[in-house]
Amino acid sequence: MNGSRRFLASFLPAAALCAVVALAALLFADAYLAQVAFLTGITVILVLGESFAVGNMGQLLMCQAGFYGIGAYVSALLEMHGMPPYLAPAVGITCGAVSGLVVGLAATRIRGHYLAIVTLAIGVIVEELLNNLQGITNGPIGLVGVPTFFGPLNAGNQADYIVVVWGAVIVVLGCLALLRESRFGWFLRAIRDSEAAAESIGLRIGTYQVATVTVAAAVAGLAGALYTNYAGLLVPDLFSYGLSAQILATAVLGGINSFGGAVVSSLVFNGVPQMAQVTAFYQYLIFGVVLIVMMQFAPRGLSQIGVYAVSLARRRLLGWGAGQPNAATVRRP
Amino acid sequence: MSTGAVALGAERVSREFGGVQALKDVSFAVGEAEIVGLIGPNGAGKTTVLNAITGVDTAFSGRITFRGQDVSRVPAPVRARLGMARTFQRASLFPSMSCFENVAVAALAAGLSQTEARRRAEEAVERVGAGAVAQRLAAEVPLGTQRLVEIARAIVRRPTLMVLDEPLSGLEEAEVERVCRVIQELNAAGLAFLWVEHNTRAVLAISHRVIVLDLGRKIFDGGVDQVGEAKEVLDAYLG
Repeated sequence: MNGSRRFLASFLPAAALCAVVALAALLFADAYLAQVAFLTGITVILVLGESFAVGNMGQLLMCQAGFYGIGAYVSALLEMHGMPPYLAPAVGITCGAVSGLVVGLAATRIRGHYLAIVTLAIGVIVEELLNNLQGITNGPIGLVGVPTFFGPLNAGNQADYIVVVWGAVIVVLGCLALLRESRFGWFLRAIRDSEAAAESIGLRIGTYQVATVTVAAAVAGLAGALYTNYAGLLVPDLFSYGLSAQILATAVLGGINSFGGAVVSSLVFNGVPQMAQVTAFYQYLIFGVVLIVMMQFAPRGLSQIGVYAVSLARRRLLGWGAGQPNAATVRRP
Repeated sequence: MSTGAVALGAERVSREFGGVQALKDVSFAVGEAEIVGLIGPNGAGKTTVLNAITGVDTAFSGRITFRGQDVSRVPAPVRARLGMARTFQRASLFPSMSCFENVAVAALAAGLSQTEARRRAEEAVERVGAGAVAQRLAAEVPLGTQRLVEIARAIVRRPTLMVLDEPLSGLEEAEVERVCRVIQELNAAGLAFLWVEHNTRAVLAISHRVIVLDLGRKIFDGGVDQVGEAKEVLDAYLG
């Protein structure tokens, strides 16, 4: 189990890509593109959490938006009651983790499509609670005037926001990659491969399912706290179950359990359409078509295309393997 | 050979599925360091017994004891921690891992340190003779080797009882001999076996004792040299 090599192989390319994106945003982005860069960073965090859970647990989670909303609202409410904004990420992580723990415990014995449906329902419940607990959340009008890290995003502070969110992306990447190569990650992989065999070696599946949902929820909670401290305004619609589906689809398009794929997928399917100012209608339309095509021709997502492209480039440019005839290429006399 | 102490006990185990009596008052014991074969025709209840013993199914009546402790309602992972290991009818390795990693992850699950887990896994892989394929993906090695790796994964925790579900099914003659040899070697080191197998020749060759089930009832429990003379067994299965 060469954990450190695997860690570096999954972490370094994805982290380097994030660093390049952040640097490009710092150097070239105007105020609008800086907003896009910030929101794309939030999406990357959400998709990384989803990708980790789905890829390692082998189960569908459909309530990332709910955890995201809980992290955002709790963080906002605490800050509106005097908590300093720099504590927000810790609060977001804690709230997300606790909500994930509760959901995980409630769904300990549920698997497969049933788990997907239950978590989808939980996402809907969270959205409804945000809409209807008017005394706390201010209902559909939402929370206005939440303190932010650096005030409204403008030319003077856009670099600060970009550094905060993309720095958080890299930290999340590192933590998830470490976790994946830890003992915990190996046990998750065993459970995903064969639940019966995992139980036979002494692993309690429910415990690891709860822990994985908790990790994914903590990551989403962090995204919520970061968003709160950028937007200063929260409405329940931002955390609809439709967003959960979009996060899941983005993770699938990137290639489940591929961190690099999750980053690229978030950039391609969320960042680029926003940069091009594509309307939501066309954005969802293109997204749906791409999803269908990818599932037909590259079901393991962008990471599969990336692996294929690298091996093709090696063969064409470097000639690796070219001098070694095989049964498929040797013509019989 | 058995030391006389009981490793596993099944006491009046019964199981019903929607009105069908799959098991009826089945009782038997497996001594420590004993190899016990569990045979019978299809539908005899062999898999139902194994599911009750290994904790896959806890909705039966009766009692399962393991080294003197009542484990009837104890879930499968806890039974594994108590020292009961198992393999599956369809070899159930972790396909995304190498053969070595399959064994090492079981060692980690036993709570061993990384270094100790690696050492224990290497030892287990060598012990079943799968060292040559240790670094190959589990899904890519032949079925016979998969069975051996499954056994290596099961013994890495150093259990006292191994429950094998048709470990010889689908194997060629040479692979059958290899798996049987490994079972005998492990037994010689003190490990008890309860194994369900349709290859009666192999069962009779290496087991110390045989239990025969038919239509959910135990119809024979005795030495391998007596089973061929039992009329009920001849009528139901061996005849």
